[in-house]
Amino acid sequence: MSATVSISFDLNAAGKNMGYLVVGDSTNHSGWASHQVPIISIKNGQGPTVLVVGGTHGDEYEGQIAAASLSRTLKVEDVTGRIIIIPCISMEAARNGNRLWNDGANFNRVFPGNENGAIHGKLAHFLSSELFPQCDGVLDMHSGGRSMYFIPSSNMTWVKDKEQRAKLIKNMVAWNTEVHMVGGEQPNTDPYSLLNRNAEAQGKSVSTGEFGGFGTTTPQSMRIIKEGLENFLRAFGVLKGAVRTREEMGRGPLSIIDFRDGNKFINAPRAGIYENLVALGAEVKKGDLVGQIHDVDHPDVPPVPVRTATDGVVGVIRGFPPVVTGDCVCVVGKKWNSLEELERSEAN
Amino acid sequence: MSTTVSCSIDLDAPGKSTGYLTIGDSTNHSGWATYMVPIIKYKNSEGPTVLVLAGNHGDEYEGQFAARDLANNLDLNEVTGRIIIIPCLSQPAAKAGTRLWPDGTNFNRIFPGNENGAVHGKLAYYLSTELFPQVDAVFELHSGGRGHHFIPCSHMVWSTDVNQRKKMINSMQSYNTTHHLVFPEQPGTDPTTLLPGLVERLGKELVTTELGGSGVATFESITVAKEGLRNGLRYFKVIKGEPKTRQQLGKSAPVFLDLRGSRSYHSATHAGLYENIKGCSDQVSEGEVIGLIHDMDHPDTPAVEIRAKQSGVIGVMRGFPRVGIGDVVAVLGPAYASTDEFPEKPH
Repeated sequence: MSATVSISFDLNAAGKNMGYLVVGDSTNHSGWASHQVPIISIKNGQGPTVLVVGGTHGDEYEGQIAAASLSRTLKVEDVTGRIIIIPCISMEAARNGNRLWNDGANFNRVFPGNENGAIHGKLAHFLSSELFPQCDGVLDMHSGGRSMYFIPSSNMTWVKDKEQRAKLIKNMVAWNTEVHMVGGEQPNTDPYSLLNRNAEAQGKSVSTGEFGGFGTTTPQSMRIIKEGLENFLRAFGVLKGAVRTREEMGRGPLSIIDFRDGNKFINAPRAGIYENLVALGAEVKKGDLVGQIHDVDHPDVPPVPVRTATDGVVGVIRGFPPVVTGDCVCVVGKKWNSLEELERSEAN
Repeated sequence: MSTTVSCSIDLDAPGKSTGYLTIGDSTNHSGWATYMVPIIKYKNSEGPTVLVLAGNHGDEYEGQFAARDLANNLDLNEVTGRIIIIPCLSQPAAKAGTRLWPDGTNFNRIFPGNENGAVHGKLAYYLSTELFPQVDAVFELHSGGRGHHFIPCSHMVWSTDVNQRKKMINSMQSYNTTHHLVFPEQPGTDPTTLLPGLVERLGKELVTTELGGSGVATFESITVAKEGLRNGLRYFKVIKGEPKTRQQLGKSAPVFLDLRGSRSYHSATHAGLYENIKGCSDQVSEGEVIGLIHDMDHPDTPAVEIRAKQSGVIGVMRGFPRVGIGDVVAVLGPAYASTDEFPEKPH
């Protein structure tokens, strides 16, 4: 129970209701201010409760627009259960076109939050202690933001627990994106400081995705995320209507890009301006050039080659070209053509 | 003759040289500093002089990569004449990922420059008075930057001087892009304050491009930038080999978008989060919804529709989704197989 965040309407009321999460704030420009985060609830009949979150990172706009569009277009009678939508949880970062909040906080590393902390800490605490417990499903929609571009796709973090894993896989494939991505635990990170992992630790059925990037949206990326989101909600049983197959959605056969190994992530070996030398989706062999880093101050210095340490498919390319040493510039994953292949790879 | 900018290499000497334009500078972190702009020159046998410029706006990286490719990889023996390359004119902006210089200056609005002005003013003055007079042709490589995304293309401003216009139409096509975009003069702007506007009025050959945008560069857009530049240099006979047309390369015929009319530019009517409903190279009909502006503070407010003011093909869509009122969100216009088919007065 949070004493520092309140909600401006009754989330349990039937029908479509909208309002704000309200957090006490005090800024240099405004004492006694309220930080307001739009939230929409659509409740009808019987069924599960699903929370849809966009804008965990501010410059990932695909999920924000998909969630905002959903809240505007969904009719109450189409819902069976309850859909709670927060189109953008990091409003401040999104307004400024940034991944992070103004104080540098990454909203996806502040869970379970802090009831008496900064605004983002209070919000995370509210989500973790009030919203997640009343949900069956939690969706967290990401993209590459300004710095990266992903093949628009739903994804999951591989977990040891087979029952939990099966739920994650089922949710991931419900989006019917052209490919899906499977990652390992983030290195050097407390997994439960992430939004989705915090919900998962509470036994919730979660699903996540990376639906494009570059800090922009395109008609193509928006079509993929909107169609995928709708299909997920149908598959989860909270939205009426038949679940669409890949074929019905005009998608090719299912494939999975596997990033579980640490050496899939390619980091800039030095600072400079990074140039992509491979296309998204390209197949590469260990040692192939994927990019080069220009020393723009020294035209007589040749660019530094950046190579892949593994065979696979390019799932992620660099967006914002200026890089410092250690920035991620490319991710190459092993491609599997079925869920069985993926499961077998774990057994090996 | 500029007394405040010097060049560390002899631009007239044969061979390849790399060095800097150096400008006296003084910053809070460094008195007696030198502001250094990398410059590369190739000279071999006889032929024209071509100047290749990129990074006029800092966050337009595609052309910077193409210029660096030339600076790193061109074989001197391929050159017949002289190529001078400045891979990035606005280095502080490029390093920061911004369109403008840190003081808010748009480098493409300060020509002919100011010999005793800020660093950018001195640099513009040097280009105007020292470099432009000694060249036959200029490549000026832009893209949409963070705010916009273009169909990767070469483009031109429709010159009132018919001879100049003819030259520009021909040289524009040497870049071999799928589309060529034809713009009007920028309204409310002295055209000679723009780098290409000044070059055009000096009677020089000129090729300008918009090679993508969104503040990033993909393998695909960089490839268009590099291949077009090489072909353009062949067209001007400053590197060896015959230029190829799209037809000779087995590619589709180019499409010319007439963006000169007053109904080409589409601006945001409200602040908010802009969603491209239609994107680059989409054909749209007059009245069709091409974008939506979402009021993210007020979920009960319907999205504002942006509708096409004329039928045509979208040449430019929005990059950075946050818009203020008046920000350009799309540019579209009718498509033609040749500029000869353009109406005298645009729609």
